[in-house]
Amino acid sequence: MGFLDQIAKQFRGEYAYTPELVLKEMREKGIKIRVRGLTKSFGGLTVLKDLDLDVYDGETLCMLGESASGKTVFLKSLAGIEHPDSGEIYIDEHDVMNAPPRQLYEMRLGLSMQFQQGALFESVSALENVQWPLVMHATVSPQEAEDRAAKDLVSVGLTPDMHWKLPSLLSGGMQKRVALCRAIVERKALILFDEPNAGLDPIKCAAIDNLLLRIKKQFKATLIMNTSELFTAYNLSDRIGIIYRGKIVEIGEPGSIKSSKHPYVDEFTRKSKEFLPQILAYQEELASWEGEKVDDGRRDSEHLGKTTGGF
Amino acid sequence: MVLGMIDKYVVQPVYNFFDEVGRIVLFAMEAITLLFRPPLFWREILTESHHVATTCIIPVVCTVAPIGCILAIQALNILRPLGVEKLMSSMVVIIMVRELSPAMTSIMIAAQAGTSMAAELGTMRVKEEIEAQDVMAVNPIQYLVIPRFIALFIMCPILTVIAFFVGMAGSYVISVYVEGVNKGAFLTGLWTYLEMYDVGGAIFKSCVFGLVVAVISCYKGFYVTGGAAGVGRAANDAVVICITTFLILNYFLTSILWITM
Amino acid sequence: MASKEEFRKYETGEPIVTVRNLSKSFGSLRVLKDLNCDIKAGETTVFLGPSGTGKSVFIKHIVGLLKPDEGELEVMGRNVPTLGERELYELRKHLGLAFQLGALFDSLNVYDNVSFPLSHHTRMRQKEIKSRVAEVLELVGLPGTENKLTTELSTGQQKRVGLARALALNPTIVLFDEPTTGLDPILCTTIDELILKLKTELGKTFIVISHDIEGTWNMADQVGVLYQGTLLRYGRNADVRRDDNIFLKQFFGRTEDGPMIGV
Repeated sequence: MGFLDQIAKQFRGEYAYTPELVLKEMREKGIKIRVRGLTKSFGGLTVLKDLDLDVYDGETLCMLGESASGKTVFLKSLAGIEHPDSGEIYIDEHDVMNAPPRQLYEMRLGLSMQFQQGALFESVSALENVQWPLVMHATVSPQEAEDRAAKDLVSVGLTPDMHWKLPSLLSGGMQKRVALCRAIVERKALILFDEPNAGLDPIKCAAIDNLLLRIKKQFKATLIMNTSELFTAYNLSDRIGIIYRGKIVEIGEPGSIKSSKHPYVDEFTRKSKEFLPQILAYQEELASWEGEKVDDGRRDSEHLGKTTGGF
Repeated sequence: MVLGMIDKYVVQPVYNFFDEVGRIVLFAMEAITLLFRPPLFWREILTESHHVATTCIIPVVCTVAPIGCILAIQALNILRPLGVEKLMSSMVVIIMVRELSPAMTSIMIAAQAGTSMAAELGTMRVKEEIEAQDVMAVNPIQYLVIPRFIALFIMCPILTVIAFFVGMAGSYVISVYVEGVNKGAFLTGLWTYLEMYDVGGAIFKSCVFGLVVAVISCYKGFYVTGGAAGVGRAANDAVVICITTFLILNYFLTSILWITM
Repeated sequence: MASKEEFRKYETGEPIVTVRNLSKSFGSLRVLKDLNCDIKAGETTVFLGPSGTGKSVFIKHIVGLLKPDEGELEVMGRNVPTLGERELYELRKHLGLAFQLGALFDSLNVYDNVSFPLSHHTRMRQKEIKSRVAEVLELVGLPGTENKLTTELSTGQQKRVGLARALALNPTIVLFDEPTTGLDPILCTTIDELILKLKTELGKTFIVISHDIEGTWNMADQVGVLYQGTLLRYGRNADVRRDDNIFLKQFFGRTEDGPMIGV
């Protein structure tokens, strides 16, 4: 039935807008995204259960939670590629839940998203991946698109010799950077990140964190970030939302999350609490570090990726 | 108990079949509506057409040429004792143009281009590339599916015409150089019964088959579920459903176009 | 013939794997540089380090998948680089490997996955296999999941099934490749606790490679830190944790500032 509805909507194509009262309230409070009662289940499994959330304009919000707690589904719902069972999602004046596909494409011109697995196009090079949205929307000339993409790639740490490599030839950390770059290249006002540093080692993680911090400071965009790394959330976010069994159980500034009394939040943060002082001390000590990086050039050797990539 | 069995083995499969058919038709309708809405991705259309042409031409030639040879031999077996050798080429050309070249070409295209499209789109779906395009405000049906539709719609008739010439060349070589049929008799016999209507009909047929391959393999690839195994299943399903569909469809098209009342 | 002798039981604390001056190069790149360490029986040894520093290559040497260019490597009294194929398979029956992504067979259910090594390497009857599978699934905390497909399981559960498969043959040494990578803190803790529990209950030797620092402090007896093929530090958990080495400080402090490259 859902499928037919969708097709019917496509043919009817009436745009759906945020109710005026709601929009007025959102504008007054500086809210960019309002989510109410969002519910989604796959088969018998409820992934999102009655989720409410307001995202303010220009803030960085980190969504923390277990794997399979519905973070990704939530993010995809915001982008309109997952269709929740019920609830309301308003992004500025767009009513995402009831918008026909045409309106969704219009709305998506105002946002970009980085996918958990990267979702890079395997058949084209890193540079072409990054310039893809610019070329497709034809807002700038092809030459300028290429220049901008190349500039952004350099700024996230990919030297020009790597620009023309296929994504599969790049290491995991590099692929994450390319995906990140594709999400930021258009300088959208709303950027969604799905696990930007999952599965990376602590040093690479820190490098990506610094990158995100720079993006946050430069762009003044609204960033919503899914992560399961506590330190990323502490470092980057204005607010942290903790999602558990499809609901937001706690939301607030990093400080208030650290001292939260909620049993689940406590369990989530306990592991890091014990070691946090040592980490902070080391970070402080090394902040003024100056010296040569030790590098035997192994990231340039392509064969290594094949021989060390797990078993 | 009995009701349960009926439900499981009769009602459910029938329901699933019509459900699937309905989805395929809706998918095709959606693609066709989007066809008339800008933008049209010319570069994609060209690369896809090029891809279809280059990958399919050799399989098509390699299957149709031997079939031309076989037809010549079998036709001569019957016609030579009757003393109407000169009718051989007229018979072969009619079978070749009306039936075999569209059917064989589409089968090879389904096997070669159809599976690769299903697998390619399926992989893109599994790797979330299709969703990524969606979020970057590019309609994946416009960007990925429509170019493939157009490529197959154009390339299928062109390859059919090529197949027709190759098949006739095959039967010419066998009948003239091996079986010793008179060269002139063969060439004049070609035009005895053949009309432009036949060629038009063949091209019409192959356009329809091209669309069938496009719709089914793109649909199967576009809505893949279940990871790498799902992609394999989609490619497999695509080729089997395509070939069955147009062999059945072929009968109906032939009876509409050429049946003698 | 050293390999003909029986595999003996190792007391806790006895070195079960000894590595001497192990070096390995791929092309011009030296992936492992002069590694030296003793891994002790009945303890958990964790090798930490950024990705691409040769941790996986090191483990591949222990199971004999790769041969070193130089140096010696003894596992359970056998000199691994000199072993023939037959002897290597004999040795591997005593080594349980759990892969990074589980490496489970997607098309099979949990029972078939876990019983795979049993039906291939032992002459156990169907009934015995069944009880052994139930036993190891119980150990990893997934009792009664035999008939589920691996694709129905969550990531954490898949890792457990991978561990169950590694334990099925009752190996002396269990090697675990990145058990917690990409998991959230709570799942990490449960996997760490599982390893800790198995070590104390079964007395097995665990060799884990990981880049989860907090988990390492919780479960490891010995810690080795690798960077670009060099074993920077190898020692007791508490000693390594308070070490003064700048590389270690950078790694434990999760910061980009320092001599390790973050790209």
